[in-house]
Amino acid sequence: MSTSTCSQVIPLDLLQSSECGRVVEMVASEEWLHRLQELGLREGVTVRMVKTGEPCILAVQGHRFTFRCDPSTMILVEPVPSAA
Amino acid sequence: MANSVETSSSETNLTVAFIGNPNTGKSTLFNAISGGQARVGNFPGVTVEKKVGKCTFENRSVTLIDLPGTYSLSPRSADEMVSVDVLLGRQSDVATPQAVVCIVDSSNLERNLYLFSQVRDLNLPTVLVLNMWDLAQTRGVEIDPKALQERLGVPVITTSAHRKIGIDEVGKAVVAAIESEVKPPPKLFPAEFYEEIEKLSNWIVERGGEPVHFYLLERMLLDVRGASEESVGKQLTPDLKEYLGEARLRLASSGCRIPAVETKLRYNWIREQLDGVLTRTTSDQTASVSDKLDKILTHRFLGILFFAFLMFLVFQAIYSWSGPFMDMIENFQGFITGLVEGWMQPGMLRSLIVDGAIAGVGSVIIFLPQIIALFAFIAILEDCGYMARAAFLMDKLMTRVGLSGKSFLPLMSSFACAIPGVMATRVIENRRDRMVTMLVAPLMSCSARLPVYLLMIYTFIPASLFFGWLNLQGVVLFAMYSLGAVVAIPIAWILKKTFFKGETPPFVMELPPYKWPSPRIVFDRVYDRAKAFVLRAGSLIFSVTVLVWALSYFPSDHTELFEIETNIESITATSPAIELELETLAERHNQLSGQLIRASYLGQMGQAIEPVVKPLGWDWRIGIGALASFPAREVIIATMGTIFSLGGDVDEENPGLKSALMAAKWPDGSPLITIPVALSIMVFFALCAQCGATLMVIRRETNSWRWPIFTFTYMTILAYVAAFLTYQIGTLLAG
Repeated sequence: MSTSTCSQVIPLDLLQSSECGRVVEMVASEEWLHRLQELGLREGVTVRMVKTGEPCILAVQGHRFTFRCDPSTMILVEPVPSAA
Repeated sequence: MANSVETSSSETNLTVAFIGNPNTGKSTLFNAISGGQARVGNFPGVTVEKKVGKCTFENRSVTLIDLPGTYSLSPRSADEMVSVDVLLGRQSDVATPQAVVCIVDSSNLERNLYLFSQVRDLNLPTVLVLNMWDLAQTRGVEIDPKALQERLGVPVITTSAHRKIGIDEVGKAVVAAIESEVKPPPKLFPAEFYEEIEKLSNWIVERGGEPVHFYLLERMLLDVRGASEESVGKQLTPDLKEYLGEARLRLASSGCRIPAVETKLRYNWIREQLDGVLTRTTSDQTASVSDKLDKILTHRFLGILFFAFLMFLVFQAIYSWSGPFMDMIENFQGFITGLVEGWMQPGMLRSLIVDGAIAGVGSVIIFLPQIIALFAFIAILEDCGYMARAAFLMDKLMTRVGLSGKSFLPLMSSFACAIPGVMATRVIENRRDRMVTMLVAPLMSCSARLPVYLLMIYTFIPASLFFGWLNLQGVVLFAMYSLGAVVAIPIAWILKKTFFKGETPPFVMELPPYKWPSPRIVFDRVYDRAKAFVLRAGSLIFSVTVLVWALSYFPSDHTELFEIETNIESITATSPAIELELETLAERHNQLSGQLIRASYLGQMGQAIEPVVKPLGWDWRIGIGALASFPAREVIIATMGTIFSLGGDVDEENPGLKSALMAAKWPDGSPLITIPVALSIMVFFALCAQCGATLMVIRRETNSWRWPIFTFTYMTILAYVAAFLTYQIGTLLAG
């Protein structure tokens, strides 16, 4: 486990523009979860918030996704220092 | 259990399937290898595009099958099942592939190998193509293909398809893969999982089912409510569902939770394979050029402003650029008419050719330049990556009516044609959203409406300029295009509140990096659509036109008319006396033509329906035209061409429909089409469901007659009411 100094866990949509976060937990319906994981959004990957809002734009492993949750979906991330 | 696929015995003829994620340059590679000579069709029973090309690998002739771009090979619907069926040789209309070429984006191997790992489970000779190799290097991704080949156990080659680099290597690698022994796929799952597959296979065989391929068994267990369950046949499916439920519970109790286990294990495997093989020298965590562009193009205000400006520009451009081409086609039509009239004596056959075929089909073909321009714009916007941004921008608006940005793309492509638009609703995972999108898609102003708008606008709307550059005709065109979309908002909202109640679904979509559109792809799309348009004009529209001609020709006696025509044509000398005679003859000719068409079957029918269309400002001729265009709306142009040509309204000097419409009069001598009438015709066509093909596609997609009937009814009522209001209010304002 990483022992980052700011190891608080926040919902994905609270990341600020150009902030990065490591996905620690994903809560969603099974079908939706499977779909997100196939697209590469899964526990352990680092995502960067390109643009906040509803929907937001995320950078996940070199790809850009536009993404909007429904109320039953929760993606928790642990902020990590941005490489930039 | 069947572990391998039965391949055909023919050694010389190879069949090779191409598969890959979207945006990996798969189609570019396919085109480069097949030389662009692909046959495009549909797989039977589904609307999945089937693209087949030919080429030679090492002197062996090869059939290439391009499968639709996909992120995974876990079929959730009949459409997604097609790719699996093709790969396993279960699709009867294509030969079983001897090899699979899996195309991946080199700069994004971590994610693209997910599909590859599923393809490996098919146990077919496989070649991994690391495409967009040049891009990966500029993005600071370093991969050791040799080491990767060692680890994966399949040939790995690198290509840059858009620069035609490494294309020949693909063929060599495929032949090498077929000739060498296939290494068994890696066993990613725990032993319990493979035991369950064994049990499932036995369970099916015990109940009299055919042995099922290993990969299908794997999918049955992994995909909850997946399409692979259907493959055992109808009798077994209900029992199978129950059995699979129990099997998944057994697996869960041994720590193998479905479906989470699949993504977890496959991505773990990918990480192991890439460890030490792939390094990234620059971090992806910084903003790319696309991100910078997106700062503006997806901006809350600037982005929408840009989108609106772009759409407006498209309509202005379509409008002003195609004029010269239309004149060319119109001149050609006049030339052909003159030629036929020179060869043939006036009579029934000449009337059929000139008034039926040339005036009818010609008046539709004339709009080909605009259709080409419209499709070119849509293809360019799609190919450069902008459409996905437009969907992002529109998500905010779409959620207001309870839909998501996913619905935007089908609606946008309905502006070209509602048929692909309705089919494109398949990308919407949520059933309720998909239904609502499908039912409002025919309201979007498709290219078949364009000729109607243009004819009316060119003929009746003055070309006044605002601010020195904004053409009133362009503004009216833009308004007509917006009308359907604006009306769709309350309709979608009502549908979402009544028949298809439900929460706004989540939304996820990839935004591909911006790129220059490929001329080849744009050309291909435009060519396909233009061909379809011309073929339709030559078949369906031609038949309806001939029918309309026959109905408006018979049962009247045309002998006197032909005598007058012969007389007119025999006069060659010019003197004031003869001119006068010519004028009386022409007047008699037009009067007689009018009488004849009113007495025809069509005229009788038209007068019967005139009371219904009179409140819209239409006479019986427009009414008949609108009625005849219920199978396909472009028909209105062709039927009006025929009716007005037969009715003697066509100016001898200028045979086009435009001048005929300007000259057309009510029996009392007042002009038939005024600006309010022209607007009422356009509004009617903008909102009416006059397209048999679209209704059939809705019927097929919803598998019920209920929804096409519903669409037809609501749109027709809407069109009538709106046209009525337009004419009445327009007349009030004008008067």
